[in-house]
Amino acid sequence: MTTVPITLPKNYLNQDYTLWSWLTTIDHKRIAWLYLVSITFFFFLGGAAATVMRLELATAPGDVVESETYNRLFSLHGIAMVWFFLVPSIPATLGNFLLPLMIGARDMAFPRLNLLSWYLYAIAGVFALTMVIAGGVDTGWTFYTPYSSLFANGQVVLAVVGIIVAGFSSILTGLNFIVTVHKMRAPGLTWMRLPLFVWAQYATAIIMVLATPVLAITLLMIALERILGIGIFDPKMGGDPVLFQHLFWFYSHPAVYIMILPGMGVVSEIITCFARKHIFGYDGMAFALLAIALIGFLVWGHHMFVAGQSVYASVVFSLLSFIVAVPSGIKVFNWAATLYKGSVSFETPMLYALGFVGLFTIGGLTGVTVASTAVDVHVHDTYFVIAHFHYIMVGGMVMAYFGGLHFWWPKMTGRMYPDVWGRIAAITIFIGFNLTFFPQFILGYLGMPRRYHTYPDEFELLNALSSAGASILAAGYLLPLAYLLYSLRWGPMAGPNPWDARGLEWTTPSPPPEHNFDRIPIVTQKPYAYDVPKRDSDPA
Amino acid sequence: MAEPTLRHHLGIWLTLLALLGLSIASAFLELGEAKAFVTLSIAVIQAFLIVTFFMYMRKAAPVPRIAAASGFIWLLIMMGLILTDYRTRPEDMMLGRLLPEPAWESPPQGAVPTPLAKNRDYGNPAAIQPTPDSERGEGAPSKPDTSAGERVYRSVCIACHGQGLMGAPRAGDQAAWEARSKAGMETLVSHAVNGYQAMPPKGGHPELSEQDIRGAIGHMLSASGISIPVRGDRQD
Amino acid sequence: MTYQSAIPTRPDTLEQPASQFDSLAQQHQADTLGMWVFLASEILFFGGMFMAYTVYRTAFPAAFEAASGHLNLGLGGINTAILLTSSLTMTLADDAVVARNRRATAIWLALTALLGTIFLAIKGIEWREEFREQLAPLFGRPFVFPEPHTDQARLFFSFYFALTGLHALHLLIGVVLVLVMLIFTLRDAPHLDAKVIIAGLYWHLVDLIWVFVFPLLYLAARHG
Repeated sequence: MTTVPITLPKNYLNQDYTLWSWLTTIDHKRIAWLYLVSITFFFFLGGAAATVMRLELATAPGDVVESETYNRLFSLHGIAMVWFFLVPSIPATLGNFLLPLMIGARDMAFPRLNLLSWYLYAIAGVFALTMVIAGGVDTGWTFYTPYSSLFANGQVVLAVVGIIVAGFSSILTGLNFIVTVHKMRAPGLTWMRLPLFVWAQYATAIIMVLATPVLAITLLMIALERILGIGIFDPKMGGDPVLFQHLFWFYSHPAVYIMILPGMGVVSEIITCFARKHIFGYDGMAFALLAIALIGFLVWGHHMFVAGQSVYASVVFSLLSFIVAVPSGIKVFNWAATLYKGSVSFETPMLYALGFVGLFTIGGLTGVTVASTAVDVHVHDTYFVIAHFHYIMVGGMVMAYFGGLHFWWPKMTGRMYPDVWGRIAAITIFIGFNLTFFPQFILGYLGMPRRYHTYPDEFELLNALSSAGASILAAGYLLPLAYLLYSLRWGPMAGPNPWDARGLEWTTPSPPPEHNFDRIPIVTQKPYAYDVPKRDSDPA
Repeated sequence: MAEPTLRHHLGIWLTLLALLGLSIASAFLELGEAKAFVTLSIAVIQAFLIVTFFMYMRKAAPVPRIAAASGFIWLLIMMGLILTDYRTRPEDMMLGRLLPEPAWESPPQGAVPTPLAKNRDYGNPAAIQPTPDSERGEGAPSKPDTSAGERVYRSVCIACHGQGLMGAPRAGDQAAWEARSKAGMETLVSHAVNGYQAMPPKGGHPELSEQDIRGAIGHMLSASGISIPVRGDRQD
Repeated sequence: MTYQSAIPTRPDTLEQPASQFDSLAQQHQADTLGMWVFLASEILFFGGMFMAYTVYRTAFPAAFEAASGHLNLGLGGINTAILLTSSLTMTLADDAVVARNRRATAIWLALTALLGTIFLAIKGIEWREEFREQLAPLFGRPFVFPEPHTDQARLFFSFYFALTGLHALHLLIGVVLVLVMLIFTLRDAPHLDAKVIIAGLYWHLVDLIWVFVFPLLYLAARHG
């Protein structure tokens, strides 16, 4: 080891290099990294399952895997992607890293609880991996009864216990966010001066805290049914499998908003930065986030139009579902209005953010389509629905996650990635994504049902297109892995504020010191003062 | 604000115990439907006292109050919307209405074979109980066995034919079956076995025999008040 | 942003807040809010099972009424009274800790833990009784119900064991928590008042949940 020529200022990364210092850290920035590494693992695990599925579906006959294996693959894909990647993705990584920085705090309100969240996540991950090694589950990620309670042949108990533990990890994260936003804001940082990213994390945290426990108890009832042999959803005793769906979707529909609201927060930050303009309609944007979180709780029944739910309930849920489109529409229009007459530049994060807006709009509009009671009967459980929610979750959330990662990467690591490669990856992902999932809208509308490993010959062309797109998408996801890792060592130094962005997090050095701020800043103005000339005395 | 005194706490505690006594006493009264309402109302009052005084909500700041309230409000949202479904289901779909004769037996756990095992035998989920070959009469086609048919209907066909999903003729809908019966029993059986429009082959249950299908069709026809000449009918 | 805390803080305290906080008052407010947010999620955790129970009870009123009659109302009532009393002792422990009376705090905490343990013991006796009468549909054991609606009575007892078991687990955690507080008191740990009061919030919530479990399960029957 040669001597280091210049001494870097102490920051959160070079405090200590031992593994032990990482595993016992209570620094929110390091915990963010623990999450980042673990969710990346699950992202590629779920992605691998998806790759095998698309390989199977490239041709009509079921020739790559058996139907039972296929069932286990799509279940694994769903479980890994939903609970081990999407739900913790932005909140637990970017949220953990940025929330205290953005509100001018030294750390989260409960740093130890924050670490406990990660350990719970890790334990849940061990359960999930054990489940995979022991043979997986064949119920799908939804664990519908009676598949999961009476007929399942897989490791349902391992899977649901893992998800319950992951759920508590997510509850504790949400709790920490709520208390941090309420109690840890810097002086002068009133609610209406909060960055929209913080609003988005706050709205997400509310859903995490109020919806996740219902998932936990519901899956616990499944576990009890299997372990103790009691019958809570067993029709023989008078149990109602549809009740499971009600309770499950009471969590899992709001969970969709857990997966999209943080993305909206990220995109708001990026668009306003690269349009060099104040965000259009800040108040509306903030309240739209809360409105989506609230209304998101009232719409779950639109998953159950053909499940035996009463038609009256279906109508109520359908109308309530249409209402969610209003705040979502407000957001899309405001992003567009922010771009209008802005000095738009197309750095890597901006490409992802623009991709998000377009794809989320398609996903949202098709969401209104499937929320219509009559149309849903036709497209329910077809690839139309698959395409719809992948436009929201992959086209929306994953795009936003990558956008956020590229936007704040210089802050997190102190180093810059090669922007050319970043743009190439962003465009590859956008093209690959659309080629993968747009044909699925058509397939679904033609009647191809989800969750089959074989299909009639006439669907082969569209499926081949989709599989071809998936291979482009996979390449697009591997690129950032390569150049981001490269940048950790060889990337040029980024400086505290490479994008000339506003916001408290950009006033600290990159990477930030362990306690974030040498002096707690005092905030005197609204966020996103891009159109106001920046003075040296302005902290944000 | 003066610090709460011991006497104050004892007062709350005695009130809680008195309410408990009242609640138990009301359980012995003939209150009928209202009993659950009375006992749960008392529980709500007790909960209110605990939250307000023992959990210091009376002195709490607004935000913890909102946090506490939202737990209860969200519970009410869940209960309200779920009960909207259960309270508005049509009479024959009400939970509990279908029960007197359970449509099928749940398989004991572990009874369903593991599909990954080598000798795969999906053939016999106890749920469906297709007629064993040995019990079948010689020389199919024969007269539909409507009691076995009813069993098959209740376990499989009812999914769509029970309510008429996706264009399926509803069992009991005389006009719909009248039109279809004109095609003849053999056509109906062949449609049901091979699939027709939205109807998947054998209703998506390949383990069913043609005889099972025949019986189920027979059951749906007779439930709709239609008798149809069948080739096996000659002896009768 | 300055409103009063549920925890009565003493201005003369010499204790320092944790490093991420500016003041002890801020820390106490954060702790209280955090506990309440957790309790809100606990309400929904039990709420899911209450919901399922409500659906089935309205669907099978006769069966649930009959099955409820086989529970031991006497022991259930005594247990409810014990839990309500334990909430009183917990509150008295709060008062003592605010008054910096460590001896009284320790006594009240010990009493609270003891009442919780008695509750669990009585619950155990009840469960043993139900196992003996073959009313426990657990682990494939035979379920014998002397009245009609056997299957739905089985559903009732599934809920009975799931709800009371889950509650007992929470109470067990509560007892351990109170015992930890007792150790803190004996060692005169820092921030003792905040710790005891926040542990108390959890204890009261477990009591509050039982206040609903009791009428739902035990008082569903037709008595007298």
